Amino acid sequence: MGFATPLALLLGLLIAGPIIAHLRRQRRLPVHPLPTLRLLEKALAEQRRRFVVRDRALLVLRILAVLAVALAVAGPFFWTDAAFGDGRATSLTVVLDDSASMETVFEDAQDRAIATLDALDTDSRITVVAAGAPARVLGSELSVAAARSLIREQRVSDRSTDLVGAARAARGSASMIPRLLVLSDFPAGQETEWPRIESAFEVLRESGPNRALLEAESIPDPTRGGALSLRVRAFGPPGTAEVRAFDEEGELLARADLTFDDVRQGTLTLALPAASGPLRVELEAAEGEGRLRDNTRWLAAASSGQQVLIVEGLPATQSSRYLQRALRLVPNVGGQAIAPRVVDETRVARIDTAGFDVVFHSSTRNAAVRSRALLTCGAQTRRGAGEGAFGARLGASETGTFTLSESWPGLEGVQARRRCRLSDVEGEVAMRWSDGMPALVVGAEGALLGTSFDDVDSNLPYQPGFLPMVHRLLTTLRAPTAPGGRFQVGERVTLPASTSIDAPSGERIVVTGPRTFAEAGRYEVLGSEPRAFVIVADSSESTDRFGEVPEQTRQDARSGRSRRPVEGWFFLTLGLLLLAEGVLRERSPARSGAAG
Amino acid sequence: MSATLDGSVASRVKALEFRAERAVRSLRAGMHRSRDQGSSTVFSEHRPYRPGDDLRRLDWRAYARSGKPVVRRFEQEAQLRATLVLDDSASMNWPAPDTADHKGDAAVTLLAAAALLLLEQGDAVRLLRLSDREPAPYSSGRSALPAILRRLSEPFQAMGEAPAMPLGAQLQRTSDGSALIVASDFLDVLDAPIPWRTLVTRAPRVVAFQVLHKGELEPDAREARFVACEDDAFIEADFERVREGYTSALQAFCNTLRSDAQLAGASLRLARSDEDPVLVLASAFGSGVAMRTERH
Repeated sequence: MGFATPLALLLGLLIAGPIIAHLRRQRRLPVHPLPTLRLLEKALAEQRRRFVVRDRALLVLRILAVLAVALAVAGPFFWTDAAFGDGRATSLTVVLDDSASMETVFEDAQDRAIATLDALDTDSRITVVAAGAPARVLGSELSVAAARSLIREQRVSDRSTDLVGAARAARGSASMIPRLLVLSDFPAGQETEWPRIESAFEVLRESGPNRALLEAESIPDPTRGGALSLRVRAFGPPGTAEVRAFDEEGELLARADLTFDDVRQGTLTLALPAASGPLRVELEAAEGEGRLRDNTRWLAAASSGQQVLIVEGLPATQSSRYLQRALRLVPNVGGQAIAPRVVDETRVARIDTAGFDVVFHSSTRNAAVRSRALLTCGAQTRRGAGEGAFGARLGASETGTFTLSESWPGLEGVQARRRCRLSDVEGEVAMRWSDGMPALVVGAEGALLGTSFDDVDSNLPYQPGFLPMVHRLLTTLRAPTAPGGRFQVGERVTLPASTSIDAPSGERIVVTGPRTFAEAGRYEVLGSEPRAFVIVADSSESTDRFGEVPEQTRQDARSGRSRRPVEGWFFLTLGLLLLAEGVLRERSPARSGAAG
Repeated sequence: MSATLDGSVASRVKALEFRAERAVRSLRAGMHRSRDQGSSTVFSEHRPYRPGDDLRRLDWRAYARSGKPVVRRFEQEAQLRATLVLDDSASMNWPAPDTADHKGDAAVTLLAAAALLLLEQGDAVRLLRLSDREPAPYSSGRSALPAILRRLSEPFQAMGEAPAMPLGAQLQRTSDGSALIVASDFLDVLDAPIPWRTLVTRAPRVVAFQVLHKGELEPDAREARFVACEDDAFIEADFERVREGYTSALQAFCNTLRSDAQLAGASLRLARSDEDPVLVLASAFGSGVAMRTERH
């Protein structure tokens, strides 16, 4: 407890007033001799004790009244944990950090925010800003009740922190006292300039141990022929923790112990088998750890680099062997190495093709064709494969002698013994047979080749322009953004309308338009074509690296504490004391004694 | 104190009569029944004749009617001795002296009138003031009245002065078998009760006047410091707040005092200081006397 004006406590010396008045009171009354005083005394006998008590009570009440005046004028206040607990109507902006690092303290933050709202005047207007990246204004100029409900509805997300954006969004209303309440763990790197208004910054930080995967990256292992190395960087208290890697079906692929050094960092490299789809990496939790969601990471694809998948339609003859060799020889595409992977057509359905930048269908039946693919004409190729996005449609297969008349450089001598007719051509005809039939059509998201990569059907693999053609097709067909299928929390993901998605939480989401995902994990896109993407949380949300809490614009609001003035209660007490004094004085009929 | 009786009171009080309620033992003749039966003219009873009785007392008419000789017995008429007791304590000296309806004046008037009545009846009277150590000697005859009035007119005790002895003790101490006529407010009864039964046993008649002022019956005061008359006790009170309780206490006190007196055989009459003293005396001395007073 404190006093805004301590000197006013000197008014308490005025308690001498009622004491003196009390002592002098008897002399003010007119003296009335009464022979029957004993009868008056007898009449009062039943009440006398009460009257004496009342007389003393009157003195006490008057002393208390003087003290109440002195205390009220002195401006007493209590330190309260609820910021802005003075009950004044205000225009309060609540910045609520819903980033991943608030996971274990988010409910506390909600409680603190609501406690603050409860202490406000009901006419206050509240703006709620979420500080998870990107900072969002959840509600503006809300009533206290509406803001309370809105805050209670919020859930912590896997977003990174965006206090800078939140500070930009924090604005007070000019109509009332503008105030700012920020509830965050104030991570490092988020120092910003807050509005120069009356502010309170409540720091909510996890106190228990925390282990977190900061990074998990799979890279091709050139020493083991298609195998992967999984490099893991983690955060945690000194000691060891186990790291486990699973495939998408939950099968354990590898495990190893990771040791944390004195600066709470640890790195580990795991050797994984060659055939790997999306990976799930888990870090063993610490005892009593509250923040578990950052112990798991999904890797969008099996490895990094330009992901190329060759779907082999004729594994027995290895129809794609020339293509595979070419892909190993082509230089980087877009600055990234080529990471080709070959899979039988019969097993392609088990592979998340969404993680690959380009898919070559070599002499396949083309049963599961997706975008960013090249279809070739093989012996078993299904007639009519291809769509509008490929710029044409594969027609009937025919044999004979076919020579390219229009071609890319180095392919002028190509002769084929079998070809597929390309119909409904809408795309760019890159190469053409001598009879005018298109030999290579490049559409918006795919391409059709009227022959195969095999040397059985043509001499294409022997041409000097074969390698440049493969490189050119890679460049043309690869996804415009790389790496594909991997997004940061809060990043906007554009999906086709009415797409159903299974979120990591198990919730099924029907996408009706552009959507922002706040939960980290692997999202399964449902439909005939298996696809998936991964939302990756900002690793800085797991490191417990804290920054400076801003200096206050108002001293008393520091560390979430504020003054709650209570002089009103003293004035109320004074009123009650005076009322009681009046009643008591009115009902007090007598006091007695003996003169001298 | 007023030591004179105005003519109206004196003339009216002479029409009253004070009689002893029980026989009086006295060597002097008077108008009151004597404990000794003898040759007075007041018939008392018949009794069978016994040899040796004075034949002059034989009631021949009764003998003629009944055939049995009976002797007439007569009460002897005796002179009454009365003690007039004046409570001259400070509580009776209220309100301030020389104010209207002063309690002391009213008491003095009552006793002066009673003295006049008794002396007129031929009785012997003495005066006892509460502050006296010893009562004055009995005196009789009209010539005794001035002296009694002078004694009555002596000042009362001052405010704050306590009586030397409680009234009850004084009465008991000085009781000698004479009739008692007491004028007091009897307020010290709250501390020391009056031994009514003892007094009535000794005295042929005990008549008490409880003299109270209207200011005591219905005090006209609000918030004040009420102080006692005979000590330094005080009560600060807003009288309006306790009026009801005070009135009840006063009434209970008066009723108890009167019933205690009556149960013992004494008569006690509340005498407001503003009441007509003759009417007060008349109602206290008896209804027959009152009738005579009215006729007069």
